[in-house]
Amino acid sequence: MIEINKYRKALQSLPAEILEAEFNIEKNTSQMIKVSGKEITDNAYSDIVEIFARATGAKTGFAYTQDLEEAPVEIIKRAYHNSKEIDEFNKNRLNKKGELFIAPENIPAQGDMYQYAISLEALLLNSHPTIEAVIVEARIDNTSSRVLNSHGLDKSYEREVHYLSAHILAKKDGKAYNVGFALSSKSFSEINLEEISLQIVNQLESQFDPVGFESGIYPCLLDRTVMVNILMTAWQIFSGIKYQEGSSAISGKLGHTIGSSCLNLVDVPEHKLTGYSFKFDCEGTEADQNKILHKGVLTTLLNNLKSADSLKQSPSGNAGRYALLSGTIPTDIIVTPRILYIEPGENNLDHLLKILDHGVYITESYDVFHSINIASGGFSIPCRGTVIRDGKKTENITELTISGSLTDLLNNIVATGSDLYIEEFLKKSYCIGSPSTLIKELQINAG
Amino acid sequence: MSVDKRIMCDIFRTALSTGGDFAEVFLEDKDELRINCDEGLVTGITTTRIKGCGIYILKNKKSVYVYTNDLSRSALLRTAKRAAEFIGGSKENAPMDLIFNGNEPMNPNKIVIMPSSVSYNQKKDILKDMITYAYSLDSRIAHIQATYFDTDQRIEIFNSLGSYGQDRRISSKVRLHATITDGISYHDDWEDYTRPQGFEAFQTRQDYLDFVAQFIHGLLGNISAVPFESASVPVVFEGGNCGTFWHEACGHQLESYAIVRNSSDFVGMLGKRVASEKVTLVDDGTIPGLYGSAAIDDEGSPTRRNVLIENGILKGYMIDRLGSRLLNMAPTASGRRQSYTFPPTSRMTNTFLETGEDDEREMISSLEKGVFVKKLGGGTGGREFSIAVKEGFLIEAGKLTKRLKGLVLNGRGIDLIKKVDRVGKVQVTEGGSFCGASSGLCPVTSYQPRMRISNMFVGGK
Repeated sequence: MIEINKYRKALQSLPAEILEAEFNIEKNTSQMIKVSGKEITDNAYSDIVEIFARATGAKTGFAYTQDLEEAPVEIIKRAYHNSKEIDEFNKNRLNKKGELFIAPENIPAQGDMYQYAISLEALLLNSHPTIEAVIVEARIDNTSSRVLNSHGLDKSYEREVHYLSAHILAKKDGKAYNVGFALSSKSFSEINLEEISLQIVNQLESQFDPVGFESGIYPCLLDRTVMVNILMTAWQIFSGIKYQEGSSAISGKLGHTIGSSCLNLVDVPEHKLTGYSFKFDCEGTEADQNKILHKGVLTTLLNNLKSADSLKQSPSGNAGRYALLSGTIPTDIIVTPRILYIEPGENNLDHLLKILDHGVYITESYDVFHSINIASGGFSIPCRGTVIRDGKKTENITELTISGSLTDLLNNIVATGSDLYIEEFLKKSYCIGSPSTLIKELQINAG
Repeated sequence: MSVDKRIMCDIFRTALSTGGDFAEVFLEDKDELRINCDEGLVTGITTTRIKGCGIYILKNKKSVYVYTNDLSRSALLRTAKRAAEFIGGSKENAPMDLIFNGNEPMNPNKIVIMPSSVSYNQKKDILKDMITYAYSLDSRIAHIQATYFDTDQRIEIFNSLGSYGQDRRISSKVRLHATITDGISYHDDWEDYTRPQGFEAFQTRQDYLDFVAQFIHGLLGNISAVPFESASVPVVFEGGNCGTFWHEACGHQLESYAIVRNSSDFVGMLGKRVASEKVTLVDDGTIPGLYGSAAIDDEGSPTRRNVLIENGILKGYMIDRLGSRLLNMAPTASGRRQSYTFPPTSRMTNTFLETGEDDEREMISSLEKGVFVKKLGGGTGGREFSIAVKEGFLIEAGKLTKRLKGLVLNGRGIDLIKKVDRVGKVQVTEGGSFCGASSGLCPVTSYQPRMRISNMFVGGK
């Protein structure tokens, strides 16, 4: 068990040369089961404490440990030693004294992970005649985050995320197909199993019997999972750090219109459609909703304390560490979203297809991490979809790429659906959401 | 060693107390250093210390994995007890007094200069040298960041069969991230100079300067690059890093993780023709000097060479311990994981296409129209794969003409590897990178001689 007092004590008696210091202590416990054929096939449990430290003398340095026997003062000294080796004389600013303690919410009875898993498995096995096997993963993650600094700041909160995912194997005419989908919430009882089933069936049916297709510019409907997939990388254009460096495709556009008038993009600390919540960031900054795009106008950016100072904006509670997949532990404080999503509109999927009338419904995309350039905004994303005629689904098409620029894509949104979907980033450090979006025109390339 | 060997027997006794038939303890102690240099100024230095323990239990075809970074005796026994509860059952195994034996193979990557013995200043000088040199190459560079990493991972693996293995894996890397502009548009990209070595990776200055020049010239080529009208054309893949094609198009599908889940087109294809007869594909974790090499896999077995496809015939899969139970096949020393926070699963190491007999120049000169892929970026695997092209060129009348932009390759791997119509004579390795999958990010290389596919879809404009 972590002894918070020894960390607090170290901050109260810093060595003379260290002007200020901070600990961010993250404790994560996770329990997971995988179920197939009503049997639990895999079971996992973890209990990890991570300690991030920063110390400032003339400059700011960082250190990280999972070694619980390392003395707190030694971790601070290590961070300070690192600070002495850097050239830049900018100090990181720490938040001033403040206290916040958020106890775990009163979570309703969870029932049994296993029961929810086999219910979802049964639902999926009956949802489509081609589905032969299902693997369901049920997971509960408990995260507690504490930020302590030498100015007397002491904040902590705890959250619990309940997560259900399903992967199906289907066979049709001798060909095999795989589809997966996941939802999270504060409790399993709040997860809509029917929604998981409908999404999987929709994506499965869009894979059958693909036909040839002619490249060109088409009106499109991007499924909510496609826009989420794009934003999972594209959010970086809204980073205050990248904006300031000039390495964002929208650098210099603050206050300008960069998207269509029906586009609102917000970053919030919590949302009813996910179990994730971010009461404060890793610097201890609390913030409410930030409207990044309001009717297409870029009104603000995602900021930590340092980038906010540089841009003369307010910190927005977006100090984070895990932005992208990395083979190392990221310790420097950068900018990450909390729950960033496109606000939903009024139209359900059927209405959007009717409005589309003739065009392409892009049902699935993959590998956007490698196919979006944040500086130029250019993208080229592999995907598959379904041709729409008279507002109805017709032939499926595959091995497509959609290409263009992110700013054109945001400007060409003509309607947003009511089907908001929020997905966790793989490292569980933020969430991205979007409803299905109708795009005036989009370049589609096909073989 | 992080945990006293005497505690091990207690952990195994607890872990197997409910009927598990196999248990493994994975201990990790790892140090990492990162130095960030922005425009020639060192802006950040971070040291990280990773330390923890994973306990893995198998009972027939069921698995349990638990992990913690509290390495006190009581916490480890509590964690083992939790794992035993998950595996279920009530059978009480006889107490064990295990004696651990291992042949402790040497890591194929020899270390000459331990990174921890080198001062921060020497490492900072390398970064500043690379940035200064990059700026000297072209005035259109808008911004450059260079980040130095070194890692020193020590692992120990004990299992209930009495087997013991250990390995020490050291690597050094610099990531260059640059933004260029012609005053109208901006392009940015990054690339890694990765070596499974200590500081000797930087002893020959020309090596890392060549890397800088290659990266910057590749990035600058984007300014004059032209869009490509999507089409199905012959595609020539350059030797070296284009081996990523094999990694994504069929490597992941040859891992037992995909085979047991029936999410691979190679299920049931052993002994059958799955590729052109020019294709011999190998995964080998023993090769000195390569990033995917190690003394043992992350389940303690000495690494080995595995032939996956031989002259177009499917010969084998990459199989971890659990996969071997589920497939009823022998494991192939392919159990890998990023760290103790992941259970092991079947993964690639150094995956490569064996050399062939074809002339490298003829592959291009014989084409009226096609695409030459010089360098690939990252991608995703599965029945359908996709890979971004970092550098691609148009082939017209047997010659490389224009640099192309925005190319993406996607398709069904098992269909495309049947269309390999040329494989060159010269093998070219690559520096390596991380591969991400269910057991985290693992170091790999993927390489090949120059190779041609007779016809495939290339996505562009």
